[in-house]
Amino acid sequence: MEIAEEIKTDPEKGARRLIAECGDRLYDVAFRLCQSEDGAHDLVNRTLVRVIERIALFSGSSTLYTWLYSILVNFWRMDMRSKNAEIVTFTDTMPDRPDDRPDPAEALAVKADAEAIREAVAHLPAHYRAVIVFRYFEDMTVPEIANVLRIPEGTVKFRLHKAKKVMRFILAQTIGVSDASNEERKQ
Amino acid sequence: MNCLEAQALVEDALDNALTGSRKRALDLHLSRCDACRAFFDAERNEHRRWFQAMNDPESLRHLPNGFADQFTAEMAKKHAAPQRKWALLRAFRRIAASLAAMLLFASLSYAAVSGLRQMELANQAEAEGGTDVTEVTSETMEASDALDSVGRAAPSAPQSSEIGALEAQEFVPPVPQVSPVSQSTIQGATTMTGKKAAAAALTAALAAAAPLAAANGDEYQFIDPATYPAANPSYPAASGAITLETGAMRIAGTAGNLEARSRSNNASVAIALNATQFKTFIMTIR
Repeated sequence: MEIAEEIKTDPEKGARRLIAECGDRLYDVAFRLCQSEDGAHDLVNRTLVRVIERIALFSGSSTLYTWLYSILVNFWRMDMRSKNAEIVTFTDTMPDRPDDRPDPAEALAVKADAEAIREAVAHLPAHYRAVIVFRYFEDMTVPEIANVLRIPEGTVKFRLHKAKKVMRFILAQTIGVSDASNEERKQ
Repeated sequence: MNCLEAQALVEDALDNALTGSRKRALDLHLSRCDACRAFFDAERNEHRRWFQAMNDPESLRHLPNGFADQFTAEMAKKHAAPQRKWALLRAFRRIAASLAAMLLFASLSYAAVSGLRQMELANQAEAEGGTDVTEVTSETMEASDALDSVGRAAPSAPQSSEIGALEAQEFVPPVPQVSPVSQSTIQGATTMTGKKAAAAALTAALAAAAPLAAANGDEYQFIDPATYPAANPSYPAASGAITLETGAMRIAGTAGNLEARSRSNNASVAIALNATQFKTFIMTIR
């Protein structure tokens, strides 16, 4: 049985299955968006409540994940607005490049690289962070992101373009090495 | 296709969403342009690395243990709650109904008493051959009828001009003109949510008070309960967001504090409104 059907027939059993199958992924996305465990916990909680209460509205025309994410994103945006929006300026959030950083060869080690990439996402302004999270963490296509964020595809592409630029800039600061792609772009 | 057009397709290319003529055009361009080929390779490379970095199994987070139990328990509790809420609402309705009944009863008894007194005064005046109180009263009645008919005949435009006229008048705090014998205070304080509830409560109260205006030549003043019963509060300007009419009465007010007057004298009603709540209701008839 589909999860949605199960929620309709037996809400508690359905809720448990939904949490078991989608809970961790939802929580992970929530954490990457709001960058706090409490915030992510709260977002997931509210999203699941909404999904279970409004399961009748789920038509099945989109995937359950798309629906879950769009609800989650909506709550996240509401939180951002009520917090009077998160204003991130690059100058004050940009991680400093420490003088005693490890030598570039070491910094380029895959693990540190990966860590730096995840760290860079956390430093993105909110609306850039959202497109990057869904693009790379969820491996979504442009139309899928547009669907979740409820913005036009053109806007998704524009934000991706900008977000990637900011990411590269942050990475250049933290890792200290502009990656190959940057080198090539300079040509 | 030039370089700019080609690079604009990068996200579609990463999605493998290019088909047909667009794909052929891009392929053709890439086969000829080294810079764009390098650009696309770098983008693909970056895309893969970022994807891997963000999906590194070690970095993935998990919901706390027991989340499902906690969640289902909360849901069960939440869905059991509405019954309590309805019970509360029913109790509130009963209280509101009895309050309204008390208010009506008190107003009517006062109306009866003051009506008698009015007649007494008239008789006394006639007997003394002094001022003709009956004439004064009928003048007041005419004026209030006129206001009434203006309000009823054309409820929109004349109403606002009337309100403007009321606002334009300089407000003079009421001076009790009758002896303490005829003073009566009816007070009800309650909180109601929604303008409809406020409107209903006011309409009921004013309907109950209307006979007084007719019998007594009273003036109704709606004053700020925060300053009430201060002798000379400065009243906030009223404007026409809320308009209620009952007989000779008209209330105009914004969502803030509200002030309004009728044509008669010596009665005041204090009320406070905010955007969604009707907060207090105090009615004093002197």
